[in-house]
Amino acid sequence: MVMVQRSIHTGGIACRCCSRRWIRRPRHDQSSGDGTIGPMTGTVFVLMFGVCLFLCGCGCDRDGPSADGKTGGKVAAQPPPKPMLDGWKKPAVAIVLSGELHGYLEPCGCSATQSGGLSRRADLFRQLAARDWPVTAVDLGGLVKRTRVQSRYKFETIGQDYTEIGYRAIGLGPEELRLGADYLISRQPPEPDAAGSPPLLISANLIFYGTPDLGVPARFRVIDVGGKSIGVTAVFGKSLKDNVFLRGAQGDITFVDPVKSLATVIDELKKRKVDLLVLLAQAELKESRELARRFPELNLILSAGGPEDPDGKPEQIGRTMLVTTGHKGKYVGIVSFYPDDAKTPLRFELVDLDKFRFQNTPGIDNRMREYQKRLADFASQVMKDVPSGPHPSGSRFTGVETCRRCHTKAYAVWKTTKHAQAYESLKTGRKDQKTRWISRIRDPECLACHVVGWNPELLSRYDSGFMIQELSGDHPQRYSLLQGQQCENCHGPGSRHVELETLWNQDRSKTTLEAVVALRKQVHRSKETAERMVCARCHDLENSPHFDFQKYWKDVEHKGRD
Amino acid sequence: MKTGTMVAAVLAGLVALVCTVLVARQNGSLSVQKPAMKQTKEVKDHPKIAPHGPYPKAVFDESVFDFGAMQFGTRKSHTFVIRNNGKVPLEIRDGGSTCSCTVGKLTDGAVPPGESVKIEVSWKPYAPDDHFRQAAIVWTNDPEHKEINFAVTGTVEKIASIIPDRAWDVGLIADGKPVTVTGRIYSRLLDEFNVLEVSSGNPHIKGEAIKFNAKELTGLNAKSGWTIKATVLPGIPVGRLNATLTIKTDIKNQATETVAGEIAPTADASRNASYTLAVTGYRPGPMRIVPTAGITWNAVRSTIGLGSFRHEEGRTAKLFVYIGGLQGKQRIKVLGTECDLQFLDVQLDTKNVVSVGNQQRYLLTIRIPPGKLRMSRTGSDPVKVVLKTNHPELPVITLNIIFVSL
Repeated sequence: MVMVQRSIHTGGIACRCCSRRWIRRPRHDQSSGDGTIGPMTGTVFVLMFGVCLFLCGCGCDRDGPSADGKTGGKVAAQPPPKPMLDGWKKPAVAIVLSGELHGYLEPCGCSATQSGGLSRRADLFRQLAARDWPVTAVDLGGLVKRTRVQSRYKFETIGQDYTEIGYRAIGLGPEELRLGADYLISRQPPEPDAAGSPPLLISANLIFYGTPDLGVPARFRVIDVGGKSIGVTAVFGKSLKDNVFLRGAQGDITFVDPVKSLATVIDELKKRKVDLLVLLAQAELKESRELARRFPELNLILSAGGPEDPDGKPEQIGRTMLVTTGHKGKYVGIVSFYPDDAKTPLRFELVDLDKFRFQNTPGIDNRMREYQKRLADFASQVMKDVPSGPHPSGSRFTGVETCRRCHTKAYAVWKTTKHAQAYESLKTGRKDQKTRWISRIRDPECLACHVVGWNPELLSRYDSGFMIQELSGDHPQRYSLLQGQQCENCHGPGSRHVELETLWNQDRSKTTLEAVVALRKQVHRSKETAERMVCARCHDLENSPHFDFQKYWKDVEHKGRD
Repeated sequence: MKTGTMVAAVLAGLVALVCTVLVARQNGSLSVQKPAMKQTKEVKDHPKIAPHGPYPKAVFDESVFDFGAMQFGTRKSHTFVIRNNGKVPLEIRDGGSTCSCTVGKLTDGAVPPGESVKIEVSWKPYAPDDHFRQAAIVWTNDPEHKEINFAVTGTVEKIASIIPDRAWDVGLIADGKPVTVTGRIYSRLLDEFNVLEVSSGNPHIKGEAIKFNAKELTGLNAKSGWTIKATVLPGIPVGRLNATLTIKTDIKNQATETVAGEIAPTADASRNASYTLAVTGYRPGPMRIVPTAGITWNAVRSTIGLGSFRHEEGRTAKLFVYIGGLQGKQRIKVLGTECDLQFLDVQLDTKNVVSVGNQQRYLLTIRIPPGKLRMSRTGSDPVKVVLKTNHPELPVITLNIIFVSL
C-alpha cells in the first residue's frame, strides 16, 4: 500500500514511494477564509490523491528485471520467444522433466539475461495449472554440485521447492551419491504417500548398506495423475560408474548391473498395468540408447549425458522417446500424453525458462531468502567447510590500502571501477534488482569473486584471504580491508613484495636488487596475461555473459608505478 | 455542502478507491498474474520471404562440425559455406548465437545466384564439457531454410582428468586387512605425461602409479594415462578416515592449488601440476547403526533424531543395527534397558536376525506412543537410553534420542 505522509514544515504532501511533492497546500486555506476546505478544493484534492496513487503505482520499482536486466541499453538481437506449448491440445497427462540442476537455484549465474531458476520453473507449473492440465513432475537427479555444508542446505532448499512445485520422484546422479547414503536416507519421508511428502529418491540398481529392502532408494514409483498411472524408475549407468565408485572400495552404496535390475522393475510395473513407463537414466546417451533398444516397453527415457543447451529434438528409438533437458536448470522438458493418438501418443517440447514468458514466484523467492539466512545463521559451519590453504606463492594478502601507499595512481583508477564496489553489490544487487535483492554477503559461492583472497575456480579460500566479520576473530582486517575485487586478486598476494620493497628502501644490505626486481616481475600482469588467465576466472559465461575484454580493459587498465 | 458537490466528492472518492486497490494489487504480495514481460528493445528482423517464387535456395554441405577434443580456455574456429543454388539473390543475416562463447563472423548481405558465402564460427569454451555444442545462427530468405544453425560440437577437456574426480571414498575398512582402491588419471590432449609421485600425509596410506596399457587408453579414449593405486594399511583408528592423496605429475603450464577435497589446475607456467584428493573411509567398531527414511543418525554423538511429529500421532522409528564380533550362531541379547523418559519404548529384535558378511543385522525400534505430552528433547537435553548386552565388546550401548513432539 502506498503511504502518503504530510510534511508539516512546508505544508506540502509527499508521496513516499516516489518522493514527489505533487500538491502544495497553504498552511491556511485562503479560498474559504475560515480555515476549512471548500467543496471544489476538496473534490480536486480527492481526485488528485487518486491520480497520485495511480501514478505512484505505475512509477514505483517492481519486482522483475527489465528485458536486459539493466535500465536502458540494448539486448542481443533475438526474436521474442513463441508461447509455450503453442497450439497443443490438453493432454491426458503432462509430465515435466528436469535434471542436472547442479545447484542453480536461480537463473544460471547472477546475470538477469540468463535462463532458468526455480522461481520461474514454479511459474511454469502455475501456467500449466491455469490451463487445467493434469501435471506431474520428475527429476533425473544431479541437484547440486558439491558435498559441502552449503551444498546440503541447497539440496534441502531444492527439496522443499520441489515438494511445493509438485515433483514426485528424483533419480540419483553422481552428485547425490557423493552426499552419502546416511544423508540421503535422512531426507526421505517415513511415509512417502502422505500428502505434501517430498519427492521419492528412486533407483533400480543402487543399494544402500547392502540392504535391498531398506526402502531407500525406492525401486520405482507409480504416480496416479489425470486418471492415468505413470510408472517411473531410474538407473545409474555403467558409463558413469567409474566417476563415483572407486574400484576396490566397499562403500555404503552398491552398484548393481542396471540391465538386470531394470528388467525386474519393469516386470513389476507391467504387473501393475501402468499406462506409461518412464526411465530416468543417469548414463551417457549411448548407454541410454542401448537401454531403449533392450527394453522397448519403455515409453520415455530422460537421459543424462546431453549438452548443456540441447536442441530440443527428441530421439525416437522404436516406440521409445529419448530426451535430454540440458544443465543448470535453464530448461525443462514437457511431455504430453495423448493415449487416444496411436500414431503420436507422446509429444515433447523443451521449454527455455526465459524471463519473457515466466515470472518470479514469491514463495520460491522467499525460500531463497531463507536459504541465504540459513547460510548467515550457520555461517561458522558453512565457512569452516570451505576448503582453505596457503597461497602457493607463500605470500599473504595485505589489502588495497597497503598497495595504495606506493601505487596512488593505480589506486585512483581502481577506486573508480566496479571492482571497488564488488562487495557492496552483494548487499544491494544491481539497480534493477534492489527491491527484490537478497543479500549474499555470507554466501561462499558469491564471495569467491567479490572479495580478496579466494579462489573462484575452486570456490576455496586462502588462509590470509577475506573472512566474514563474525569469524575474522583475531584478524579483523581480513574482514575490513579485503572487501571488493582488489589488486591482489589479479596480481597475487603482495606481502612478500611489500616486505622486499620496504627492506630495499630501509636497509639494502638485507636484500638484493635482483630479488626485488624478481618479485616485481612476479606481481606484474600484462594485458595478454589478463586476457588469457586472469579476468575470465570471474568474468565467465554464466556470471558475465556480455563480458568483452577489449571494452572492459579500458576501464581498469593502469600503470604500476606512480 | 451542496448535493452536487457531495456527489462529485463521492465519485472522486470512488475513483481514488479504485486506484488504491489497483496500486495495492500491483505492489502487494497477492499472487496475481502479471503480464509476461515484453521485449521492448530493438530486434533485428529476419529477411523478408517473398510471397511467391522464384526463391533463392540455400545449400550447405555441413551444418554440424565435430571438433573432437580441445583444451578449455583455448579458441578454435571453423568455416561453413552456404551456396545459393536458386535463381534470385539469397539474403543472409546474422541471427546471433546460442552462447556468447560462440561467434559467427558474417556480413549481412545478399549472395547472388550460383555463388557462395563463408561463415566463420569461432568458439572459446569457458569450462570443461563432455558434450559441448553451440551454434551460430544465420537467417535467410529461403523459405525452406529461414534459420540455419551452424553448430560445433565436441569435448572440452582439462589438460588431465582424474576419475573418480572428487573425494575417494574407500568405504569400509575391515579390521586387520588392507584396502586397495584404484582410480585413474588420464589426458585426451597430451601424448605423454608422467606421474612423479603418489603420496599422502597419513602414514597408513600408500600410493603407487602404473602406466596405462593400450587397452586402458582405448577404454577412455585417452592419449596418455596412469592407474593410481591407494592402499589403506591396517592400524587406522576406529571411526572415520579423513586423509589426502597427492598425485604429482610433470604436466607443465598448470599448477594446482593444493586444497584438500577438490582438484583443479590453475595457470602457473613454472610449476608441475599436482592434484590433491580427499580420501575418506570408515573403520567400524563392533556396532554400526543405519538410519531409515526420515531418521537422522549422528555416529559421533550417538544421537538418533526422530524429527518433528504431532503428539497425538506419536512416532515409531526403525533402524538397522549391524553387530560384528560375534562367533557362529551367537546372538546379542539385551540384558536390561534404562531410559530417562518413561513412555519411550526401545526394542532390539534379536529373533529376526540377518547375516550380512561377518556382521549380523538387527532391527531397533524406537516408539513414542500417541497421545503423550508435547515436548522437545534436543541436542542439549536428549533422552538417554542405555542397553546392557551380553556382547563382550559392547556391554553397554548408549543412545541419545532427540525429537520435537508438537
